[in-house]
Amino acid sequence: MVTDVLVIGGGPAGMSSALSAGENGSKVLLVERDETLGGILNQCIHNGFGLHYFGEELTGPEFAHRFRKMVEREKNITVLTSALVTKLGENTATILCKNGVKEVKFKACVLSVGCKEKTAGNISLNGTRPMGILTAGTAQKMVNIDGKMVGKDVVILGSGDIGLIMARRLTLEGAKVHMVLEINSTSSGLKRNILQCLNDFNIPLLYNSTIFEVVGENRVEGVFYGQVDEKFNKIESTRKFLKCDAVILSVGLTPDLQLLPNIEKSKTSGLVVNEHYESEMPSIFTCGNALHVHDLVDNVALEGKEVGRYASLYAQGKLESGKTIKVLHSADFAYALPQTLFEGEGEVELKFRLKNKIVRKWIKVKSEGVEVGKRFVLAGVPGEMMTVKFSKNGVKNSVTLEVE
Amino acid sequence: MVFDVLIVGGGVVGTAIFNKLVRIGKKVALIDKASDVATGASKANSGLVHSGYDPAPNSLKAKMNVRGSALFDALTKRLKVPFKRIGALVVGDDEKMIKNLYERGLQNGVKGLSILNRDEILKKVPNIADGNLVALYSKTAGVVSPYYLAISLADEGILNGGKVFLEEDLVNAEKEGEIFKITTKKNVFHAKNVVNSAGAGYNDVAKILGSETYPLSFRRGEYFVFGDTAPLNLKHTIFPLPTRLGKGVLVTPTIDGNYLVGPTSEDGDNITKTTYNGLNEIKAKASMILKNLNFKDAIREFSGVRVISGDDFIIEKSKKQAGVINLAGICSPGLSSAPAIAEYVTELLGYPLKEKEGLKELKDYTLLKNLPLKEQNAKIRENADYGEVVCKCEKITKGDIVDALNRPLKIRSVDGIKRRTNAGMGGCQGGFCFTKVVNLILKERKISYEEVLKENRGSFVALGNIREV
Amino acid sequence: MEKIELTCIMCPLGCQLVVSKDKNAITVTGNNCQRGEIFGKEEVTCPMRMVTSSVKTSKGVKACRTTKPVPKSMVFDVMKEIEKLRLKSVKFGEVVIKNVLNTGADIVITAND
Repeated sequence: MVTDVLVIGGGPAGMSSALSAGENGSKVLLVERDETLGGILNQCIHNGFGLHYFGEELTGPEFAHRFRKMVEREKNITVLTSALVTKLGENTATILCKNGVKEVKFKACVLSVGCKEKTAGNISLNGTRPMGILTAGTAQKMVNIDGKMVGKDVVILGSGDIGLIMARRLTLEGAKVHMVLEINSTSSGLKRNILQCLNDFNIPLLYNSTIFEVVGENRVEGVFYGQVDEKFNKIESTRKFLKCDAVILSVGLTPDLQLLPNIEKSKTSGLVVNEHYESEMPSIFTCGNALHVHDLVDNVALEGKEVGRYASLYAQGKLESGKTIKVLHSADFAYALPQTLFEGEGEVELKFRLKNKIVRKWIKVKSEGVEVGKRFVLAGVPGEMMTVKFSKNGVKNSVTLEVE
Repeated sequence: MVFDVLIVGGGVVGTAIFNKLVRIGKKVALIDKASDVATGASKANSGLVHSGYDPAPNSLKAKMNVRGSALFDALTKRLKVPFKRIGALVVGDDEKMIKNLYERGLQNGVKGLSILNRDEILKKVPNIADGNLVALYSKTAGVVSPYYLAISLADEGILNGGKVFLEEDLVNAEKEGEIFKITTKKNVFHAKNVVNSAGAGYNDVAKILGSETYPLSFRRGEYFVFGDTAPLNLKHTIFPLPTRLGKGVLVTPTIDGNYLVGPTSEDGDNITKTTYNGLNEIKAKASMILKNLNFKDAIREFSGVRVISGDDFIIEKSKKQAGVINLAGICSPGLSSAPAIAEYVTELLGYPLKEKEGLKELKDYTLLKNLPLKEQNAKIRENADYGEVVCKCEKITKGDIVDALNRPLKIRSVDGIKRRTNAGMGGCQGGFCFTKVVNLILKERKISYEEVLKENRGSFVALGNIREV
Repeated sequence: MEKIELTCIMCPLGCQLVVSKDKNAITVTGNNCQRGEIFGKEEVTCPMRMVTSSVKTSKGVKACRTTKPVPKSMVFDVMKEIEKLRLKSVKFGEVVIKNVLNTGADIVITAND
């Protein structure tokens, strides 16, 4: 098989980049490992999607549906579902699908494979491993796709957004969610979710707290939980027991780059990219949660659109690079993307996450001490990806993001 | 029907005995209380086939280990169970102790042993921690999946006429003349002989049978699992010098491409749990073996419980109850010894070892991903299920999983599928494929969602429909 | 006079609002902008919530939603109405309950066919 642009992963990032690559005149092969396009959106049946992209509030399946329809209408896109890319190199990939093991030659590739959830193993959850310990995403799939209850008495570990969403979902579907435990002193979840998913149902959110031990042989029978100190050491004197039959984990997401195990990853655990979201592996572009975990699917779709266009231009030999500008940041930031820019004209956008909450501050972009861009922030939190735009005219060597 | 032998306990030892007795033409039944074979100590150990330098000379352990290891090549080849002699190093700074081990190995009849200096160690293990100056290298040490071996032993036995009964709770045993009448909650079995290979449940079974009980203790071992993408660059099993409590925290590649780091060794109850202290102990000890272990690469922790009875295995005919064979305290090197124990028990039962003619061969269940490309395509052409990946981390296809469900031993657990195919064993630990596997099980087994298990009875994957529980 | 404390969710600032309520008026303090005042007033008078769930069909569960927010106090009642349904099959966008409990909102299927 031969294509101009190979898009790996048919979630919002992949569909969006396939669309934009197709609209830009490239032949696109969009490969999705599931039976249908949409990715994790299909199981996110709650609302809150699409306000930025479509200007109206949609549920996950509806957001996916709209993109799916657009993909179906785009003649330049060939969709291959139930297909897994098992190997990826420069200009060539191996796909395992119902037609066999296929080699695909491509001119450009968009890696939009999404992220994966951290597991009980990743956080070394102590105790036994009975049925009932599930990541929030797996629980979500079981409840929303299979229509099955994962537990009657539930504890949620971690206050990430999916955990909060699942607290509400399980409550509405008939379970008692006893508490959400958060090891940090703040939640990475959105304020709206804390209000509408926990406060609405009087579900307590305990900060600086975690599960000490899971108990149960066949199914979860309960947990010992309690508080931790600043170094996350368990404070044994606070140890309490709670009877429950399910432990839902919402302890973080990481880009799922199993396909490229030996490539160096950035602070986001995604690939290091330049202004065109092209990785250090020539011809491989990346976007969406495979690059950095987003809080809004709208931003994923927008990023996909941009990167699809770059990949398409690259495939057509029209993408111009230039001398490199390094993107640096102060310790106030968790990361900034892309990691490099190209010297030249025009406006560029940097994406970043803060390490701590800021109120009434300026985000400034400086080049060799000189301010080249800024943005006033009324309030910024680590849970929200933010952007700053600036003109790169005349900028050389490096830019640095700072908070003032 | 009267069985020649009823085996209680389907760990790797029980299934090896089952398999052997079927192959010599006996009528054999194996019962286990779990929902699959190999769910006790056989599912949670280091997966090592030791060469036999460690046990005391002339002990049953030494004999069984050396003979057992020698039988592994032919056995695993016949069963199409992956097995590799990757070699093991016992490392340390005490040359005298290493020499003692070497001598003991020679005494036990172990071949392929040599002593390595620091430079030679570095060639084999570039990331060996400082301070490990000398090593005993055992060329023939190997790795195998202990549960996959037990499953295959059971399956081949069933294929050749043996019977395996799962979820059987032993209630009563009595003798009607020379014949045992064994009653479980579900069935009544008649058998001329009974083999007690119940592992952690040995004494409970012995009490019902009226055979000898022994002082047994449980020793818990915790492990970390590192994924195949962890950059360890490790090709051999690395042990520290043994201590009184066992072989210490080792690091080894597994046959599936992952890595194991562990075990701890803590006396206590029979609960397979991981603990804060245990995991920290592994971190500290393992860093004395390998330099480049980053525990952020860990994808899972687990623990297994070994049953200890003194210094040696107990494998003998019961004096209290004629017709019963006792197997107690089969801890390490139980896996390595299993094929030899099967022969030994056969002889204790008074049967010749010669196998009967016309035995059926177990089907080749090699996973699609492990086949040559041409064969992969041929298989997918024949059945598109082999082209549909269910577990993307381990690249396990729907065809692989359906095959596993249609193996001779019928199971209904997600962990059972994991042991047969590796589905759910990778980086996401089943996060993406758990419900897919559940749906394949219920469809193939024709049972409801709520009847699918994670592991044993009671571990139902779901409690019922939404809004109905 | 009744005082209710709330965290504003209109932006990441997360102002701690105090909403005071008596017979004649509702006042909001602690807000930094007008959106906070609107939010505070609505949350104590008639908070509205979108309800999403799944309907049971002979082909498994299918995701659904209310077409607009309903009073927060009625969320569980709406869930009960959704639970009453046992449908054969449904299509994307199909209305399965019209004007659920007179809220003015319909229950519509959001799952892919």
